Amino acid sequence: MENGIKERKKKVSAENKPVKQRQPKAEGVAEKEKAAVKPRKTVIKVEELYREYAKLSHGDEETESIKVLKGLDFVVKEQEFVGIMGKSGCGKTTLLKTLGLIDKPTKGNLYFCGKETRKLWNDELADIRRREIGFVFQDFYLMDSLSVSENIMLPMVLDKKNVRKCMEKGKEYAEHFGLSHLMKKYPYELSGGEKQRVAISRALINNPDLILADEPTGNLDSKSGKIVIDALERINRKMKKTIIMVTHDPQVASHCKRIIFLKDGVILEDLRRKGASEEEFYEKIIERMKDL
Amino acid sequence: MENKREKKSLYVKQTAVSVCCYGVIFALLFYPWVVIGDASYHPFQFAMKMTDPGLEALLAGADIYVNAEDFSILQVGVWMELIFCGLFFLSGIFYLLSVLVRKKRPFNIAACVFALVTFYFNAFGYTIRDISTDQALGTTFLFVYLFLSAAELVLTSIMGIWKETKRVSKEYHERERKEREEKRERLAFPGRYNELFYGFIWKNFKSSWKDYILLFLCSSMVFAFIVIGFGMQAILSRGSRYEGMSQVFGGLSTILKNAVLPMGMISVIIIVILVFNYLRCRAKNYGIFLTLGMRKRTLKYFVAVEFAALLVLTLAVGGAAGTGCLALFCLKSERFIGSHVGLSAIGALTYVKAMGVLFLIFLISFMAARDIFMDFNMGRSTDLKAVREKLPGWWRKVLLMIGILACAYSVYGYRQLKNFESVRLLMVLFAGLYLVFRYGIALWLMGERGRSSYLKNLLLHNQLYHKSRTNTGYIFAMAVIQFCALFYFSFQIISTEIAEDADTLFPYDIVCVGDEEDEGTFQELKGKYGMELEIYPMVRIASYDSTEKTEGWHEGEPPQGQHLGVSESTYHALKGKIDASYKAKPLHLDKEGERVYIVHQQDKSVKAQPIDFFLSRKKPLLHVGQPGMLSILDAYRANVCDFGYYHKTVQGEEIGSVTGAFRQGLRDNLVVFSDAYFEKAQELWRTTNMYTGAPIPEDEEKIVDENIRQGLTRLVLIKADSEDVPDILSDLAEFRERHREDEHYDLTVPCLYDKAQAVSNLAVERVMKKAMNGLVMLVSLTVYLVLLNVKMATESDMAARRMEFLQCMGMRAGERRRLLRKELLRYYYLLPTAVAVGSAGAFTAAVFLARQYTRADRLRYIKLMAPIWAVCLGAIGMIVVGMVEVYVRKAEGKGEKNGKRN
Repeated sequence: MENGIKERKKKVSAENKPVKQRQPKAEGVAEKEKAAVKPRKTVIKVEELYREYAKLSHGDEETESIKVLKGLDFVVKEQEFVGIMGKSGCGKTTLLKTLGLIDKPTKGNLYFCGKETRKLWNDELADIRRREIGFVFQDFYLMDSLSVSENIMLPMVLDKKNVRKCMEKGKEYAEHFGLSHLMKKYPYELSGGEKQRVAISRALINNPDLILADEPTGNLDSKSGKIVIDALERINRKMKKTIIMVTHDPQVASHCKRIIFLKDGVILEDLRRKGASEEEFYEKIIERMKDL
Repeated sequence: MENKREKKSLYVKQTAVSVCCYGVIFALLFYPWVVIGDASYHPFQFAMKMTDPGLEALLAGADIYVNAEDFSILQVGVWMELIFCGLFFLSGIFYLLSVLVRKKRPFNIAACVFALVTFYFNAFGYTIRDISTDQALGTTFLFVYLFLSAAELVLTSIMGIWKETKRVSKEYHERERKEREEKRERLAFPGRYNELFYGFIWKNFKSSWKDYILLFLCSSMVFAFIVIGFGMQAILSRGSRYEGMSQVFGGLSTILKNAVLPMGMISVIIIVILVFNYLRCRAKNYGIFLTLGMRKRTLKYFVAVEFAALLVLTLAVGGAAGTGCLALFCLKSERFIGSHVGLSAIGALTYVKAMGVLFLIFLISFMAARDIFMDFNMGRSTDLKAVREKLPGWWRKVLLMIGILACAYSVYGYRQLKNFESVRLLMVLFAGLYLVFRYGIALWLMGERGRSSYLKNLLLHNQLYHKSRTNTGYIFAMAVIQFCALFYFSFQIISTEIAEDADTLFPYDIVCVGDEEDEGTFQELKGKYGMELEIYPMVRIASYDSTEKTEGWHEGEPPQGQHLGVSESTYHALKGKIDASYKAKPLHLDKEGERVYIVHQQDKSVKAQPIDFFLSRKKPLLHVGQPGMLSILDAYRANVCDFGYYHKTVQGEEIGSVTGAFRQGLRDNLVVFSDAYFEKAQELWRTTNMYTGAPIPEDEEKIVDENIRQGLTRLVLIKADSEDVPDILSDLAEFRERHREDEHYDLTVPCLYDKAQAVSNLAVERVMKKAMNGLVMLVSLTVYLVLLNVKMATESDMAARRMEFLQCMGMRAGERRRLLRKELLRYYYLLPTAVAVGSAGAFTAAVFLARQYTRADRLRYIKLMAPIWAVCLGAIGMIVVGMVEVYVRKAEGKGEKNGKRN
């Protein structure tokens, strides 16, 4: 059994070996220094968060309540890169949707940048989604009826920005993610990696505080996956964006600074990188995954 | 100190209000509002008059007659009203005194209650109002008392709490204002959307263009049909007021009504499926907009605009198409009906009604698709069109059994004459069929899982598993549409074809109902024209309910039917007259008149119907004499046990014509009694109240034309030369005039029928019936094809993906095509057609029984039915095969193209 796991570890490592070796110690120190200078803002604060679904069964007569999230508590500060891991059905995507203000919690409190979301009107939630959150989904979630440039500009257009600004920004992000030559194409004409880069550009165009990514590499081959995760890491590091990412892949998760392990709707462990290298962190993740 | 002053001020104000209100009340109490004849009294004055000289004398002086039995009730009622009026006055006095001496007591509540009781007594009891010459004046005054006393009570109470209420209200409004302001500030979203935004919305809309066009075409077709339905009703409404045309127009209205009901149901199914499909197509894009932060209100606005545009286009195109068809009908109908009868205009109301129905259909569709509207599929990129629909879970067997029982019950009920081939039974059949399809198919598929054929048929049955609800809906709708075409509409056409000829239906040239005094007139005419004259004794028979409609409790009594009551020997004589070979057989009727024999005078094309529709009983509720005014409900309320209407046992019945099928079974049917009872029945008028129809008690006086009347007693049948008929009819004008009163209750039951007019009407009615049902039959078959096309058009992308998948899996092109072809033909043509043919066959047999068709009739019917069915099914089959072939090739081509691209 153990041999099997070791073999799998090796295989995964061989397939997705990190390209860059960072210097965790130096970076860690720098981060600590920064934190000492300026306390970091809380982007997400979750208190006793519950989410239940009513499941209709047997001819809509009996309703069954399915508890997906069972009293979660955690805080995400700005510039954090948080991974959420767990088995299928443990509530990862539900948590991400709740954090993204798409779903509402059944019980408990969710604070977004200090605002208690329960007290916000639906239109305010929509405004937050539009201006302060960027979404990246596993299946890209692009509009087939709009071209690449239009898909990228969509959040800005929805925010009533002027046309010239939309165009400029769209172009800028397209260039940044190597999509300039695809601007006139439609999503169904692109490869998976290209689609995901379009989705990332779209997520960033309104300069949001938080990026929520639901298995961004789940539908991609290892090469495209690598490009996407590198892009996300760059966004976190250089653009100082907070990222919360749901993933199954320990290799992808090893790019995060912190991993929240979910099991049956509760937090099993909140693992922090604390200066460990990507490989060390990866090993730790693999270790914790055994308990899931 | 200030508080005390405030209290004092409040007390003064309250006292002022009380004094004003009660001052006016006391002043009005002494106004003489009780008007008896020429004299007027105020209530106290009237109370004194009640003691001396008394109510009887007062009424006699005013020439008001009240019978002895009612007088005592009236006297009690009047005293009660006066006593309550007095109590009201006393309460008012006490209250005013208590207010003035600053020891306020709640006498004003008592006064208010007494005022209410007095008003109630006056309005609903047997009291002053019933003897008053000016009823309105009395009621008005009592209402004013009630109003003023209530106003005083409310005003003084409000004044007490006014200040506090005002403060709370101010706070509440302030809070609301702040909340509104805060909301406005927090939700402020200044600026305008740029042109890119509208471009995106338009592009997004264009991506579902095909589904939108499909929805638009189908909703236009449905709206055109609705306009035609209501328009025809409006057009024909005027014709029914023409002398002699009521039969034709009544018949046409019935045809129309019969056609509209099932077609309406089919329309709802189609629109629901299409709206559901359209919204499912759009859900993903709506979801993206919302997830990316578009406000729900904005999205709803654009969805509303899409549907508003759809509605406007539908109203314009469908309305124009419907109006065009109606105009064509008006143009062509002159050929059949003749230009002497002008048709009514379509009128704006037709369009208003049709729009109402269309809105209702869309509302039902939106309700069916409510889940899509709930969250617009936010954060999910799933293609809702591809989402699996689960097979129904529990209760499969039970619900299937209920479905089968419903189908069986509807067939069983349809064969009974008492159920008048009710559309409700067809609705039961449709409900049953839905359950059978939904749960039967589910059971069959679940059962198949355990069999070896499961894997073999996996691909063929995949869509039934995967989209069980949608596909069951299609199969059900297709079966219902074909059933309507094969049974409902085609039966009307074929039965008209096999119906009796005019001479059989109308054996006499003129049929009259009169009384003994008319005998001389007819004998004179016989001498003058040498016509064949037969006069038989008869009595008028009223049936309690002559319409199949169920009256609501607020609609009052149903219209009563009028029929001809004859003796058994008269019946045999009449039968002998129309058929020389007739051999009289005893009808086994009793001398108490409990058992009757009924001849439904109608032709074979008219649906079987009872002579009394009341509660659809097997035993009709009949009355000897003209329809009475006393209703059953009134009779029960008044505890009158014997109200002259009795349930009769139908010993036997036949469908056919003996004196003439002038009212096609709805009126003037023959009710045959035993000879012994008929003699009694002829004398019943002497003891029957002519107004109520109830028997008059033995001790009560019976005065002719006062409370009893003999009514119609003679059935007169005339055969004359066709040249003489117009002259005879003009000579009978005086006879009709004499019997105007007898026709008064129901103008469709005249005292004289003219064969020539009836024959001409019948010919028109039959032509129209065949034409309209033929048209509706064609429309329904077309609707089936449209539905199949809708299914194929909405699933074309999915079919292409399936073909592509199967191609990748290595299935040969021929096999792939065969699979799709087999699936469509087997489950969307053969299955619904087989069920429709089976149900139509069972219902046809049921109607044979209900209408008492003879063996010869049945054979003639089947001979005509067979080619019609064969042509319909064959033609539809060929078109379906062609459509499926084109679809399969398209899907295959698309799939291959997709495969190559990828």
